[in-house]
Amino acid sequence: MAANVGRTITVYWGGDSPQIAVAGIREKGITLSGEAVDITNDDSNGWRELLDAPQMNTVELSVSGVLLDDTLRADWFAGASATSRRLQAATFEYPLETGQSTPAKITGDFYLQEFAETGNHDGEITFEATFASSGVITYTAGS
Amino acid sequence: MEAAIRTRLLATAGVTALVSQRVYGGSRPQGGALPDIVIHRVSGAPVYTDDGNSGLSSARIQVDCYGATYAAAKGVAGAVFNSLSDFVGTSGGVTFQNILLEAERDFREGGSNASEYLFSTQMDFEVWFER
Repeated sequence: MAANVGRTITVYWGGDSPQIAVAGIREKGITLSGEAVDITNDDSNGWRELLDAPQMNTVELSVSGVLLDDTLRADWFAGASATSRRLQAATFEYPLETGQSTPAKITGDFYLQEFAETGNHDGEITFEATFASSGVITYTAGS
Repeated sequence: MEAAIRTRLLATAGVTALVSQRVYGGSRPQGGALPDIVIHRVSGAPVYTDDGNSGLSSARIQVDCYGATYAAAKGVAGAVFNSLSDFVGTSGGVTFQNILLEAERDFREGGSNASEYLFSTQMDFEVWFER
């Protein structure tokens, strides 16, 4: 796998087909977490033991960048209505590697947990958003 | 954008009353009439995102106000301040979202002929514009 610059990762959000990339991103990240089950007991000789099965798997997606549209703001507010848009499909797509026709990607449903906008008097308006996974998240290797 | 800054200065009566059309880019003509103004771009770049150019750019523009006396240079600097500081609008076809004065300092040219020394006030503006 070759090194790639950060902008070659694309984050898509929402139920449109094709799914729409989040606009204005300058930084994005994904964290895969699997909380372990502690099975330490009297026979562990004082060493912690963990079950080889997660208690709970979660994936957190975070993006930040320059505010170019109101999609995430509108989706957050729509979350309080009957047509909720806070829980939608998201995709974290990696760049195409040499010889691949389909990029690697992580897909699933995510909850728009946090959205923040900041405007400094001497800078561009920026935003940050955090998406928390809900249900099974799938990793598809590039091919 | 630099040309649009010049357009803005020349569209300000308080500036042209002092320097007429003598607003230059890069350097002033040797022996030219005083007072005058010289504009330099010090730095700046577009704001990029993963999508490319966001359409918003920032630049630091240095405006040097020259005069034969300290008071003359200061008078021009005051007129430049009134023209550019906190300017929001369109000039020369460029949309400015904000212009902020970030620094101002006095300077005096050196040389062997003291009678030809120039006084200047150098002003650094942070310019936010659409490009």
